[in-house]
Amino acid sequence: MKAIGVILLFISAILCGAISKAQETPVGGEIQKNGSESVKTQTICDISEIKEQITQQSQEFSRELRQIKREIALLRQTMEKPGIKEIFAGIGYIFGLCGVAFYFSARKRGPNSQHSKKE
Amino acid sequence: MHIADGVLPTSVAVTSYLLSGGILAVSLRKISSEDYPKIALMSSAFFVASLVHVPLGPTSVHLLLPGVVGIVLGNMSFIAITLGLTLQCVLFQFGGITALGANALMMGLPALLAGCLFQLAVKKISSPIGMSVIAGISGMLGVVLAGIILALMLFLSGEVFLNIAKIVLLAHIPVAIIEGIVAAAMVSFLRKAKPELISVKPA
Repeated sequence: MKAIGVILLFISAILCGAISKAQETPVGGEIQKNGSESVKTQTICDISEIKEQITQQSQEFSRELRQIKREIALLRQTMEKPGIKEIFAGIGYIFGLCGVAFYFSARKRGPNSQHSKKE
Repeated sequence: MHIADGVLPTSVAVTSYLLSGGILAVSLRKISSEDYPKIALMSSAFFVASLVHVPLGPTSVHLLLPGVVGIVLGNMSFIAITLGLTLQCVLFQFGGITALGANALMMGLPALLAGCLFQLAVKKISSPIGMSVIAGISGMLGVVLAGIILALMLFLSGEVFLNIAKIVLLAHIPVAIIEGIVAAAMVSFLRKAKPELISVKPA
């Protein structure tokens, strides 16, 4: 008798659990539906926030890019300016040419000519 | 003030090359070996002078020294200026290589004329102040002439002559004044130190 009672109890417990689970899903689905809507609105809020963030970031980037471009232009200008090396190169070249011209004029004058000394 | 590549049409560039080549050939016949150091010195001075920038508003102009070179060298100044310009063009791309003839004309002719003016005037005026004043005027005139020739060249390549002439001359007025002062100071110094350098009889 007791055993049958226990078994019956057991079965009813299982059935209750199954029914409540079966009932859960529609209720749970509704909750789920509500949740997905709020998730949707949440994701929509997220998306607009993300868009804002992206536009902000792109503005910052373009600002930095402009700065970098300015620096590059300035750098190019300073690089183009003739430095002290070029000055020395030019002066050296000029005096070298002068020396070559002297050499040829001395050759033309011949080996026996001498500069007249000032008395 | 140097003309860059691509500004002048081919006809103007070639003509100015021929003209400056001719003047160069004529000048080369007249020099003797004693003048080589003078030419070298003035050429170096001209070469370096274009690096002295006088800031003028947004841009800057640079010293040209056609007056100084003309006074010291006279007829040989064309050689010095052409040499200086060639080196500037080759070493730091100051002025294009196709515009070299035009640049030589632009800077060389004022130097020659300034030298001539100085020599002519010095024969009549030999007081020290007078000579310095003449030197100053030649210096200024050199720059002004260079500006006019530049405007002429640009006009031949299609710009409006008067506007360009105005802009160029206005921009070079400070340069002209500075060069006049430099030329005057140089002449007054050389007159006492070494008059032969400016072909003036020793005082």
